[in-house]
Amino acid sequence: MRKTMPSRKPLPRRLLLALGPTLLLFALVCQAQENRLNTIACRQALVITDQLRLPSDVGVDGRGRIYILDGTASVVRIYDRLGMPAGTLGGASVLREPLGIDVSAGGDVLVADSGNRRLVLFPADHINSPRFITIPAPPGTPPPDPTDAVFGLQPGTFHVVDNDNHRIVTLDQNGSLLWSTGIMGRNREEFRFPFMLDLDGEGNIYIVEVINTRVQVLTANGTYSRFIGDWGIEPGQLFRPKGVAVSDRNEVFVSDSYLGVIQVFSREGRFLGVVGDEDGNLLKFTTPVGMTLAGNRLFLIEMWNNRLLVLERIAP
Amino acid sequence: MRSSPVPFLALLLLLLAACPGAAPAAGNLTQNSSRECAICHFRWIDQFVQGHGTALAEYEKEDVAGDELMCFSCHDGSTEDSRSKVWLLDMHKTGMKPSDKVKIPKLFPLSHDGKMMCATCHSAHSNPTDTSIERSIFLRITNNDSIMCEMCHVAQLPKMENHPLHAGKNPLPDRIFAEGATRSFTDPKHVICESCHTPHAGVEKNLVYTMTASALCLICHADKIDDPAGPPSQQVNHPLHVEFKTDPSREITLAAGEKHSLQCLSCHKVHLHAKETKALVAKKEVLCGYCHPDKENREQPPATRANHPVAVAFKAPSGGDFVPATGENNTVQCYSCHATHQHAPATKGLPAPRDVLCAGCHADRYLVEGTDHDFRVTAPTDINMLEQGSSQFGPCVTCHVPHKAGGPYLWSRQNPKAELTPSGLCLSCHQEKGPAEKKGVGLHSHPVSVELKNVPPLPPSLTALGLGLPTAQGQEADMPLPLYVHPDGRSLVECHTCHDPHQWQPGRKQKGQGSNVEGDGASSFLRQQVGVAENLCASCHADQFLVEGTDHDLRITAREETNAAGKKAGEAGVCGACHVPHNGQGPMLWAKPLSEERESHSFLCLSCHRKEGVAGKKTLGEYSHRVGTPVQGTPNLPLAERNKDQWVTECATCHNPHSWLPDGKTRGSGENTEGDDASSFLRKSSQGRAELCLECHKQQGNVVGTDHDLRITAPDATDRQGKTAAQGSVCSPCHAVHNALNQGGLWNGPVAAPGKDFMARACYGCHRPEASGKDKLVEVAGHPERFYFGYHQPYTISEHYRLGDQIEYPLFDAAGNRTAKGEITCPTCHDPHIWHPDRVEPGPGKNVEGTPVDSFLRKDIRNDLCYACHGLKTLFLYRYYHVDKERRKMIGHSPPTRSFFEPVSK
Repeated sequence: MRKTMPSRKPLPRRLLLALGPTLLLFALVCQAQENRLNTIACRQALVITDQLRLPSDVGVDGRGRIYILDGTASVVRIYDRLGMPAGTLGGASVLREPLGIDVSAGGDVLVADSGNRRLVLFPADHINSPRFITIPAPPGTPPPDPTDAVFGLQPGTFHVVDNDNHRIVTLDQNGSLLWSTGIMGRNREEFRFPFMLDLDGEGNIYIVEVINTRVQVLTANGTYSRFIGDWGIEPGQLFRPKGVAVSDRNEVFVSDSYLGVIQVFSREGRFLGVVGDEDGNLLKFTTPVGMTLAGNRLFLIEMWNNRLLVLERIAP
Repeated sequence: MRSSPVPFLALLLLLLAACPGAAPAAGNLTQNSSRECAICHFRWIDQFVQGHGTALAEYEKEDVAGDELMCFSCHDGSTEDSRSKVWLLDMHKTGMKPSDKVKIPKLFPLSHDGKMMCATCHSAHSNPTDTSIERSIFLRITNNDSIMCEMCHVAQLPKMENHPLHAGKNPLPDRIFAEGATRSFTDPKHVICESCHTPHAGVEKNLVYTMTASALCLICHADKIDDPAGPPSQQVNHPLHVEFKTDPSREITLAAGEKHSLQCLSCHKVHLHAKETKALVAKKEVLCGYCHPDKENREQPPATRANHPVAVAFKAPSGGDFVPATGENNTVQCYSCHATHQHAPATKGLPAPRDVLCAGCHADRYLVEGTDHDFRVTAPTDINMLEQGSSQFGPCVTCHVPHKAGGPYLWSRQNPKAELTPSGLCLSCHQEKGPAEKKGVGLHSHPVSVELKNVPPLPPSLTALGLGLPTAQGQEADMPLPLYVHPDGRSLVECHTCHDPHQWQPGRKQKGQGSNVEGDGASSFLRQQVGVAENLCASCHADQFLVEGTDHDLRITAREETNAAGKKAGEAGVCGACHVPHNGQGPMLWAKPLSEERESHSFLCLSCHRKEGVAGKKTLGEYSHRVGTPVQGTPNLPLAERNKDQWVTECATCHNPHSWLPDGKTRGSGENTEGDDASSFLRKSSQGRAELCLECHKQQGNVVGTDHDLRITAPDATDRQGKTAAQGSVCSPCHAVHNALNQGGLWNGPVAAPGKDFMARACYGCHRPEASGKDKLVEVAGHPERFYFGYHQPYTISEHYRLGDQIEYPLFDAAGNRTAKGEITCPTCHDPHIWHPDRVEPGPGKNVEGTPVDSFLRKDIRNDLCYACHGLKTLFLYRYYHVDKERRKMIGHSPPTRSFFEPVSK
């Protein structure tokens, strides 16, 4: 004989009744988490003002010496780790309105000499004998417009942002083109006004696109890898990204010159937080542009304020 | 009814989607219009539209699309077109309210709070008609020929002056376009705002392309700067880039470049200058003084000015090699003589060579060229106090410099002898070891820096000749003999009163011959000739000019007589025979050789009036009126002050060597004339009452009208020269001023025979039987001279009466000279000039019989003098010696013999 089972409410209905409040609570918690912005705690360690006028980028060598690109004056100003002036490089006869700089651990200085449309290499062992590296441009295209350059992982190679041609080029030490990626556009391997770039430990190239408001990551051989960031003003979104720096921890620091913030992403593009102070408050900057990282220090150019800020990361 | 689970799942998905880090917001992009707009229109972002901000961006309620930071967020070098404009250096001001100097048309919006912003001029949506991206991108309107600039800045244009716009004679240099200038759309020759300015990427202040070291100005105005390393012949502009300092007392401080260097804009103002300043930062009348205050000294009194006067009226020449610019009211200004740009090469900013410049206004002074005062002729190696030589700078600098002068008249000589006196300036050369040492003035020279005063008015006979003093005050430049008006108001005679140092020959407006010339009375920079006519001397010394034609005009009486300079009287002129203005032989600028110099000026007369002299016929004789003797009283005659408050006589006391007649009005006759008591250069007549003598000898003047006035009692009596009393004067029968018989009393009358003292002889010369005083003889005897009646001390009278006593009874020596110790003789008891001792007055004018109380007896003679020696015997003795009848009654010695009255020897 078939036993009649007691009558019950349908499972989905009950389940939903039970899950509803839970989910609402979960959503509220998530919203609270969102409102409590995660910050990367830093404190100010050094400020260099000197005679800078609209500086754009900064580099640090293995000895901690600081190289500020004072492009409107067509010089690289060098300071020791305490911020004391230690000389200059370049000058109007060598540089013309340069925008980007990279410094190797050994002290080689690479400058994207924008006005002269070339790279200038100041070898550490012949710092006053710069080498000029011409950037090849395809026929029928505008002249090269380097706004930033970095030393490649492979010795003797340089990765260069060709801003006005919306491409990334890699050259060998003789200036020969190894590869070139990019045209003007919004898609993968397309750029709109790429400006600055940096490498991670594996040689991946992180390129800031100002108008596309993202960081496009290319592999060491120039193929698309991923995007970081998106247009917007919420945390993890970018409004006017300018500088990028990749830490030893594979964190990607991106400066936003209009919002005045430094946001931090994982190498894969996950938003990790924003640079803040010791109390967890968001730190606002005035037109932050070029950056570099050395150890636990973030070197940040405030272009409009004509100064360099050195922020020291508070563990962890 | 079963409820559908779909809404719940949808909500779940939505919530999950809202969780942070749920999914990377990255990927290929698709065109999103809202995003593209919000690139600039930040306010349009959804969150702001919904009314809230985010964790990264505060709520933005204003449209900031055209704000400076928004624009700069792209145009910061990260886009190519911004690299040489916005990012680079200076840019047009934003974020501030427009000043009242500009007027912003409504076409150009301001921010919500009225401030300038990028969008005031720019818009990403405008001006589709202009195809030139360099010129028009994002501009609200086309800016051809900078009209957009002018739309805001035009308001100021009608009010003030600006650098010319939309004009130009020549195409602008290519260099200025290489610097970044924009060409005029209308005409390549036209200057527009953007010829000099750029709204972005200006290198220097005020958005100019480059102003370093005035470079921008000099691109177009290249002729306004010289190569400082170039030769002087190429230096034609005011130095630029030199260090300078604005006088702190001025209203403004001039702009300076690096290291306080002078720039174009130190003096010039491109915009908003007043119309009358002609692009200068201040009125051109005062601008130079901002840096060169030491060249102005407007406040100092004229005599101490070290610079050429400015801001004073002058009369510019109407033509010639150089016509200076005049300031307001025809005043001389810095720019009258200086040109800041395009001046004559190698000059201190002068528009013409210095001499041409000086001669432009001072043409009459430039007659100095080629004369002995042109040192190129006479002292070419000489340099002035500023180490400038005439060979390089022309003849003027020898004595004058327009700036940094050492004294009045812009004097440039070193070490003037007398500070601030014009003559001292002359003497700086005309002195020992000076460049004009050979033309020194000597120890005895015409006085300078002296005031003209106490000069009597001239008689009409001389003023009719054109003679006379220059006006002391307020004299004009065309006065014949200029005086120097001292700052204290005195008008002084200086070298330039007689000399015009710029004109070699008086009356001839000619330059010199260019060779060293020996001067004479018709040249030598004299203002008037001397020698031929004496107007030069006579203009001041017109009263002395009465000498012309007299016996003292040696052209008449001794034409061949030479002066110390070897010039004959005929050459030296009426004055030059006795006087020379410089290098005199003695006082009074004496021109005659002198063997010695004495204190008394009378010895000058004796240089001629001596036996060997040119006036040997007019000597003084052995006995003459003394000179150098003190005078009592205050005669109306010139005396010489010998010591303090001691006035003595000189020849010139009685004589005016320049006026033959005492009237002081009459010139000579032109012939050698024999003089008399009414001429002979006497200051007053010595005829008749002898006014001249009586000026000093007032007491003796009481003889007039007494019995001793021989004009009354013996008019036919003659003096030693045979002149009767009627022909002479009250004095002349007895006295002569010169060529007298004896010094005592300068006796000129008859004298008795020797044997008595001279005074007794003089009295007995008349009072003897054959002479005019025959009715008044001393019939018995005179007072004894030696021992008598036991009086063993014949001169003891001096012990009772001394000079200076109220009652004086004079004693005389044998020669007739009055002495302190002497003999009692006639004048001891008698004063021959006063009839009655109690009535000191002239006589009645007729012969009067005397009594024992008058008869020229001295006052109280009997009581004071006689009784002093003779006591009670006085009356007895008097009767014995004076009254023959009484004597005869007495017993005593014989009276004097008659030989006492021997004839007079003449």
